[in-house]
Amino acid sequence: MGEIWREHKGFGRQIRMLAKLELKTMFKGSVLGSAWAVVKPVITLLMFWFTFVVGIRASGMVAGFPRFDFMLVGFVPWFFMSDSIRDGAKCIRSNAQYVTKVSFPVSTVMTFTGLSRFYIHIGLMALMYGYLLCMGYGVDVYQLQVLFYAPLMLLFFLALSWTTASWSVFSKDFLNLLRSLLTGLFWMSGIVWNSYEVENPWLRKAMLLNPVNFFANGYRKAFLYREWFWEDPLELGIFLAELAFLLVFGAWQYRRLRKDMADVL
Amino acid sequence: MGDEARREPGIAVELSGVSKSYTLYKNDRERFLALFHRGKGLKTHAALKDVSFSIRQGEAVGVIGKNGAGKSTLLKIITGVTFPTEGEVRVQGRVGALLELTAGFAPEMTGRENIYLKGCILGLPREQVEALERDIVDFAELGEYIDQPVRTYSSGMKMRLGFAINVSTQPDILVVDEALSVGDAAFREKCNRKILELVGSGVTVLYVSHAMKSVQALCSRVLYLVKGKLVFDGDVETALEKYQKGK
Repeated sequence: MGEIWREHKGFGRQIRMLAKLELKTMFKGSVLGSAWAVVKPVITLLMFWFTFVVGIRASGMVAGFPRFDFMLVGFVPWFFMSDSIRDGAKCIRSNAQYVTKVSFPVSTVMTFTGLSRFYIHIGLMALMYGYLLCMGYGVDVYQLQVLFYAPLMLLFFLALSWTTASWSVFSKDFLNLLRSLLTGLFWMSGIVWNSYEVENPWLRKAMLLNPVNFFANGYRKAFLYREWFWEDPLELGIFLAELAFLLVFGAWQYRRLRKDMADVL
Repeated sequence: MGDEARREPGIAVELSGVSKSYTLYKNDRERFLALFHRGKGLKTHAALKDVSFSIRQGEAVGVIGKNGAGKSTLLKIITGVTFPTEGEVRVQGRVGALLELTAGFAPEMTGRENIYLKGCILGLPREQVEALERDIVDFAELGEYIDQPVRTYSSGMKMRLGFAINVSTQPDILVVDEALSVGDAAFREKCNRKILELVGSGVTVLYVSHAMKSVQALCSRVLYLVKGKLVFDGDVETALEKYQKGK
């Protein structure tokens, strides 16, 4: 991780500026501009809610909460996760000029890409919180856990992009594979359904291996369930092991492939 | 930067035994597999072969050679964009590159914002960029266009802005690759004068060109590359003679 650390040292101001630029570029040229960052997820959420409640007539309640609220609290981190997985993997390709034209600390491309999506996430989270307050959920100390989950989520998917972005430089196939897996990952994870309520006990345990569940359920613990993140040490332990693996593996992949990137792109 | 280079204050750029090979991928499948074996066993093209030289601070050195001789690869290695397969590169000081002047702009941002972006990427403090802003705007001759998005610029305008930013940010080493075909004749002349001024002010300049006249005008020493090998390193006249004879 030394190389990535060295590249980031003293580059904080640049990263923040480039993250802002990334946001600006993302929404430039449309009338609604940055409002799209909110409109798109809201439409998606309403569609899913409609499908479940009206279409397949699933129960209006999940885990003791209205389905809409349950889905909302899972969807807000999911939007960040899916954006991070997809855009994190292609970020070096879409910022190829920083690799092939100038001498640039390339690992910071992943950081400013992730950070720009995180800014959107903070906005969505604020809206979600406002909605929950309006629905009478009240303010409590469990909600502070978001200060644990949100930065951890940024770090986890940043570490993932060290591998995926480096690999995607070499192969577009990898990028396509990842995109196809994303839809599967959504349905396999407890975003619209409750992963804690899987009947088969083995499968229920296996659900803990999915980091998407860790965050979706983590946000629900903070905003709905009123549970602490350390109450299930197995869940936390599995996640931390996965994070440690990604940090080490990702840093290794980046270091291994960095010097060839400019020649391949 | 190695310790040795630091002990020799006069050296700006030093290459020792630098070779660079590019892996030639036949298709996407080979490129994909290279993820795992890093291209071992695949065909390679040697762009630079065992090149060694050193450039003192304040020297203006021309790099000449036919297309494919390895000039651009050499400059890319010095600017830190690509890395040598073998050998060592030591560069002392900040490198400013006039390689692809229109690259690296954020098209949605205005010319002025791009000045700040570029300055930020180069790690210059904001106050320094503020101090340079006027110079850059004046030099680029963009007038009120400086506050329009760069995507609305003509390629000549982009080049002028690129040139102005790169020469104004006070690099220690300036790398120039045929960049003087910038815009119209008057602006080209202005760029030439600016480069001469920089040479005079003690900036180290590496100048790649096919235009022998400008090499003669700017440089006191020439590196002549043939098929990736450094075949001559010395005075301008001899180098040009060899180049014209095709030796």
